[in-house]
Amino acid sequence: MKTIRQADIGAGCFLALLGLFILYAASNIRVGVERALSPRFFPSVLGFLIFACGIGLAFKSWRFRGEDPRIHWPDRQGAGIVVVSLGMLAAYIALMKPLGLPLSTFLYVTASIGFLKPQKWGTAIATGLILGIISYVVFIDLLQLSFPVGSLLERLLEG
Amino acid sequence: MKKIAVGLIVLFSALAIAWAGAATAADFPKKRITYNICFNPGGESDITARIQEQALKKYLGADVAIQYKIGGGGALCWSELTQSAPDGYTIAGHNLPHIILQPMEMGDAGYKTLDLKNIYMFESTPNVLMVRKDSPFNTLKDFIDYAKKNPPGVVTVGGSGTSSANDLGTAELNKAAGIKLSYVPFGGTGSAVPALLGGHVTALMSYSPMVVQYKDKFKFLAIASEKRMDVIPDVPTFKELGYDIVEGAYRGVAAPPGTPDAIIKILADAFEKTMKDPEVKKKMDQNGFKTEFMGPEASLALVKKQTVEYQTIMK
Amino acid sequence: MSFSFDHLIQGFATALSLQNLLWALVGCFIGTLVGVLPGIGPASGIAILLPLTTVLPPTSAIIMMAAIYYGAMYGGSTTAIVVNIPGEASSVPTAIDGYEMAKQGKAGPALAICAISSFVAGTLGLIGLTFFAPLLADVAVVFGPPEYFALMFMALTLIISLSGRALLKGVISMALGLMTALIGQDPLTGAARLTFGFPKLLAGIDFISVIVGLFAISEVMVNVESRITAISQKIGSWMPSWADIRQSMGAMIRSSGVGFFLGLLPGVTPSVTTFVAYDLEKRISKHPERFGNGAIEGVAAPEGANNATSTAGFVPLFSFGIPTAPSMAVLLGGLMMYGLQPGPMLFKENPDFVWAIIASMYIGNVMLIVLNLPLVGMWARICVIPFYILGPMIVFFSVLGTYSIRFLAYDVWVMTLFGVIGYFMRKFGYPIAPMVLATVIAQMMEMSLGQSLLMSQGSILILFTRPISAVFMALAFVSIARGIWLQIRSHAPEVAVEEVD
Repeated sequence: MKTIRQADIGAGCFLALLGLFILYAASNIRVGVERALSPRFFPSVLGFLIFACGIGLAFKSWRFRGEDPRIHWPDRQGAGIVVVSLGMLAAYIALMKPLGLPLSTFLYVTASIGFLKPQKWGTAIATGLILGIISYVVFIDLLQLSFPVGSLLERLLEG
Repeated sequence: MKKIAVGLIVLFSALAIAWAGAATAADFPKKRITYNICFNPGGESDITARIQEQALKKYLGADVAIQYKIGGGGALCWSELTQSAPDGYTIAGHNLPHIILQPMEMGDAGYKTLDLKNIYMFESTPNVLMVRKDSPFNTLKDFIDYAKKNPPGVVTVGGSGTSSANDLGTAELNKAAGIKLSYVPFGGTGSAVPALLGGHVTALMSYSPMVVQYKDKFKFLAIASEKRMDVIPDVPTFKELGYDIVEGAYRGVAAPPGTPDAIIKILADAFEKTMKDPEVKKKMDQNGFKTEFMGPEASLALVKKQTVEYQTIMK
Repeated sequence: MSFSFDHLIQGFATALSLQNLLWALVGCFIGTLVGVLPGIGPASGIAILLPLTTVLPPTSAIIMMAAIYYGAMYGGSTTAIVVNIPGEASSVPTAIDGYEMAKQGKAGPALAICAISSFVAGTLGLIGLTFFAPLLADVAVVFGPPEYFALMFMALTLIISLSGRALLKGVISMALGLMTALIGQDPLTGAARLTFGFPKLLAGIDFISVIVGLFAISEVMVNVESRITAISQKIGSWMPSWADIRQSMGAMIRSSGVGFFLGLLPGVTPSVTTFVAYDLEKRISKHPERFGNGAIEGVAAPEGANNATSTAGFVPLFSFGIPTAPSMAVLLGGLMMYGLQPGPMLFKENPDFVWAIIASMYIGNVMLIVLNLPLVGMWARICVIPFYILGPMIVFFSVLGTYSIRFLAYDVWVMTLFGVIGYFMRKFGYPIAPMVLATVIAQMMEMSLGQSLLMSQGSILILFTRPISAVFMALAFVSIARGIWLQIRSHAPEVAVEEVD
């Protein structure tokens, strides 16, 4: 998919299928209490709308003959950075519960700054430490929000 | 520098994972307890928790953090509770009829009624049927006669939520009086009020605190409790008027399944002391809440009794 | 409550006591912070701080809580402008043009205009509240379910102008947004919907996750892939020029009007009125193409509407004891902790209390502008922080904000997913704002339609026989017809202009 037109044809077909799938899912909604408006009504209308828009978009783009703007895809290195960054975000979320917010924040921030700017590991560690500490002092301790503390930190604090 | 950083990351991860272990229950509570509220801030559950907060901290001897987990009409909060660590540090407010009707009606609500381990049932709010001050109805009889005169479904009754005590109460009134009122659910007790003020519904089936709050705007036709409430002595009960309807919402707290009984007992004692605290009791009464004092066993018995009752109403 | 000068003067006397001034200032400060932190909106901000206010006498406490409430409204736009994280749906329209301005090195003027617009609208709103509250109170209850449905339906047609030339893509974006909001429990019957067998999805998708994902996360993705060094290379003058102020003055006043009148309706929150105000400015502008590319009116309008709506919310609160927004409900709940019974009686029987709050709001507005203008320089500087540091920080705050919605990692995963969706929407030229608007209105729209049908025993005619709802329905249909007509005439490819870099 290099141009908007190609993307539109692809997305249109995808949306048409999605619309059909939603129509199918809507017909399977279990109606418990009977009320004037069935819980299936809105999902069905939307499923149909998405289906129709998908077909419309694909058809319109297919017939379109004019200046076709290119999609701004990243270069190979840029794509790599996006994928790794997303991976680190996923690791951050996954580690939040076992490691606790402060520690996972430290690890995430340090690792991503270090990855984005390998010359600046010192800055990376410093920023990671500051945000890790803020996450504990401000959010867990002061505002009393129940973010995971992590058993390591919990034991350290208990002494 | 880079090597040190990478080293630190590896070291911390390894340490943290190696050091993870279970907490002991001997000297409970020794850290902050999270008290989850399953409905919007400002609603009945939230207000009760806020009234309890200070006293609860005092009697537990630990910090209590009130937190919201809103979604799926409470189902999210309760299914999360059943998956929390059974160490007593995570508890959640729960309500009847919600925790009974949700698993019954939705099939898979993410939790089962009896998964929730009852700690204490501390309050109830009986249903009250109310109309606008300037409406022609002065008694329940006027209202029922009006409903009988009109085609079925024309008379509308607003209330909080679907499958709530308001919803059930309206259904019971329909059955007992042989009428057909249309129940219109709103997103909460408060959001139904403008609908009655603006005359978009004929009446509201709401909870007792509304009587205290709206006594100069609404007339109260009947209350669905066993006896009249002290704070609103001039509102007759449905029973007095010849309709055998006792319905309302009960609120309490529950712990995850498998929480040791010793811990449940500590929590229940703290809640009991909180509810008997004169300051708390006074605020609850003033606001039209009916205080209840049901420990773990009594709460469980209530849940079982109500389950049978709701099943008969639903048929 | 009814107006009298004696009451107002008495109110000012109470509000100007040293103690109350101090708590108002503390409240304004905390409110600004709460507003700046993404994800922690005014409702949860007040709720978190409630226990701390119990040591105060009721009047001081509610003065402080009210200050947190409108302080948060001031702060909410900051992150939307400097780093493209709208922490609330109401800041989304601000982000559209505000972030463009920040990229052009004009974060300072954008932030300053926000503060000024908030001040102007807040004060105009207060004047309305002070003098006309009894007259306006009934407006709050005139709207029943059919009127709300018609209003929301009309609001959905704003998508036509939000989408620009890419109408079909705008509609798709809207449909997907509505779809997202339907996941979970049906508000009317409690049935589980579109959970595709995942019990977790029963919890529904919180729109904060959607917004933060679509805006902040996808923005970070786009920025890291192109390896930009900073959001903006320069910070120009941080003060707006007179030309800027002149240009946005009309927008401030108009949006105050729109925000105030719609804000009288319980349930119509700033998340709707800011979109309406933005759309209005775009429509009446002589150069609508500037919108989306850093139009200063596009920043002034939603901010004005935001504050006017928040102030208008006090009309039904003081007249009927009805909270119009979640944060109002928390405020009201706070009163109960003092053993006060919220409801119309409270405000009727304690005029001193009400007027002290109103007077303190005038003072609070002044405090906020004095407090916020000097901070503008500091916030604006965030834009020049090297992106390799700022990017991970944005992600950190986004994670923090979405996690604290319900303290579930699930909401953070949803945010990440919408970050990816937003990334592709940008690449393929889909407008993002319609999706946000749709996610915000969907539940209310369905609920009010269901309620209307219950009121009419299933007849859809109820939407057209009640005059107010008929007018809104007619406006909506005219708007749709116009949109379709414009679409048929144009032969441009489907690309949302403002979303393509």
